[in-house]
Amino acid sequence: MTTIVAGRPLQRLLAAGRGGTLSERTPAHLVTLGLVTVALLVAPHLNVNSYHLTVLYYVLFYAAFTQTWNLSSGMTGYLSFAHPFLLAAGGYAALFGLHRGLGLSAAIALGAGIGLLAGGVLALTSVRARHLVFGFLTLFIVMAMEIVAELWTPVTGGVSGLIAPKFTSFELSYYLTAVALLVTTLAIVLLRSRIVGREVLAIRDDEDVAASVGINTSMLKALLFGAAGGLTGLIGASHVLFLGSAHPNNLFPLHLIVLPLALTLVGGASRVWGPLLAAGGYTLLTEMLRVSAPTIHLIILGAAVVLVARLRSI
Amino acid sequence: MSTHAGPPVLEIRHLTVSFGGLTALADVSLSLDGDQAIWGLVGPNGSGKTTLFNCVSGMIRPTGGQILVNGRPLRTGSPRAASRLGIGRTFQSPRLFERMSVLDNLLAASRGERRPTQRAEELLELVEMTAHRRALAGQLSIGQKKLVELARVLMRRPAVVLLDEIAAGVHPRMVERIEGYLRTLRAQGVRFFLVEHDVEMVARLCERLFVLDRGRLIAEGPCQEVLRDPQVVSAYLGRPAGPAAEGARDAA
Repeated sequence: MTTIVAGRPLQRLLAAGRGGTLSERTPAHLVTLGLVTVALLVAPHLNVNSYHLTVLYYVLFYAAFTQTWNLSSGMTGYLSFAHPFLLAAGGYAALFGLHRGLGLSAAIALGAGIGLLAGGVLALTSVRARHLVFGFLTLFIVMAMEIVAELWTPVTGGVSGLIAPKFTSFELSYYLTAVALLVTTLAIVLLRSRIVGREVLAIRDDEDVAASVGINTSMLKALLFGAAGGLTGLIGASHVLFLGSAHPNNLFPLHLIVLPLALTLVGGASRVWGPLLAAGGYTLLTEMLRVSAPTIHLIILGAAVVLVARLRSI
Repeated sequence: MSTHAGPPVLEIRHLTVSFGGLTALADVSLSLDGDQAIWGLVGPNGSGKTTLFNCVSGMIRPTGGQILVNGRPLRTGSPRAASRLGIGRTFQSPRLFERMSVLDNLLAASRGERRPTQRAEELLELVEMTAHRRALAGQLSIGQKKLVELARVLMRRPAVVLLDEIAAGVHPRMVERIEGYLRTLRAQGVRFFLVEHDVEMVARLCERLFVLDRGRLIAEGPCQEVLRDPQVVSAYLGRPAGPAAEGARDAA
C-alpha cells in the first residue's frame, strides 16, 4: 500500500480532512444529505425536456449503483465484480413477479428481497475467500449468472429477456432509485458516525487484527453485503421498469462490472460523497462525448483511476 | 506453589504445531498462574515463540493440544474467540488500522465498553499519545504505533496481554517508557505475557520465565533462576544476562 509522503503538496491536499475521527463530519454530512434530498425531489419538476430528464435519471442510476457498491465493497475492502448480479437479480425478480400477477409494489419488494439474498451469497463467499480470491470468485459469479439468465428461459425469458407487462411512469423509477441512493448514503453516514463503522473499516485495513480485537467480521460482512444487495435489487427493479425490459445485454454489460469499482476508487472508497460525485461526473462526461467520441470516456476514467492510485493510498 | 484461588489465567497443554515436515512446537505445556502478573517467554530465533502466541491468539490452529483461559477451553483458529475469552495481543511489527485515526483505532476495539470514548482517551493519556489522537495511524513512528497498539488491546480489558517483542526496533528511551507503562498497568491488575529478545528488559520486568528452544520448553521458573540455568545460558543466552540479572544473583 502506498503511503502518503509528507512534503508533496498535491498529496497533502488529497489527504486534507483525513485523520481526525470519523464522526466529526456527521452533522455536515446530514445537512448535505438533506439538501440533496430536496434537490432530488425538486429536480424532475423543473422545466426541463425529456432528454434532460433521461440524463438526470442516468446520473441518479450510476450514482446509486456506485454508492451501494461503496456500502459493501468500499467499506469492507472486499472488491466485488458481481454488482451487476445484484442488479439483475432484482430486475429479473421484479418482472418475473409482475408476469406472475403480483402487484407493482409487491414485485418491487420481491426484487429488493431477491437482491438481498443475492447479497447474502456474496457475503457467504467472503467468509472463506479473502480479498483477491474473493474478487475472482465474484467475477466467476457474475459471468455464470449471465449464462444462467440466458438459459433459464422459464424465469428470465432467456436470450429474449422479459418485457415489463405494465407501463410505469418515469417518476416511479426516478424516485425509487433516489430512495435507494439516499438510504445508502444515510447508511454510510451513520456507519461512519458509530462504533460499527470503525469496526467495518477495521475489516478493510486488517481483518485478522479486527477479529483479534473482538470484531464479528462475518456478521458485519453479511449485513453490509445483504443491505447492499437489497438496495441494488431495488435499483434493478426500478431500472428494468425504466427500460421496459430485463435482458442480459442491459443488466450484464461489461462496463457495469468495473464501473462501480473504478468510480469508487476515484471518488474515495468508504467516503460519503466522493463516489457520487465521480459517478455524476462520469455520466455527464459520457453523455457529452456520446456523439463525438463514444468510447473515450472509458480511457478518461481509466486514466483517472491510475492518477488517483498514484496520488493517494487505496 | 500457587496461592491464587482459581484456575490459571492461561494454561497450555501439550501444544503441538507442525507445518508439513517441520515441527514448530512440540508438546509444550505451561501455565500462567494468578500469583504473578508478568511472565516472559524467551528463546532463540525460530524456537517457536511467535508460533505459540499465534496459537493462543487464534491466528493459527495447532496440530494438537489444548489451550485454556481462566479454565475455559479456547476454540483454536479463531482470533475472535480468543479475544472473547480474554486474550489480547500485540504484534512484532505493529498492526494498526493504518487509514484510521489513532482514536478511531481504539474505538474500533471498544465493542461492549460502556463509555468507549472516555476509556479510549484515558488509555491514550496513559501512553502519552493524546496529542496524536487525530493523526492517521499509518503516519506514526514505530514506537508510537507500538504504544497505540498497546492502548488498543487494553480497550478490551483482556485477562492477559500477549506482547510480542514490544521493545524491538525502538529507541532505548522509548523502551524505558514502555517498561514504565507496563509497571503502571501491572499495578492496576493487568497481566502480561512477554516475548522478548531484550534479556535485560525481561530480567527487570518478569516474575516467571519460560524458555523455548527448537519448539520445546527447556526451562521454566522464577526469572532470575532461569537466567542462571546453564542449559538456558548455553541454548540461548550464550553468556550470563546483564547487570539486572547479575544484581539479582548477587543478592540471592
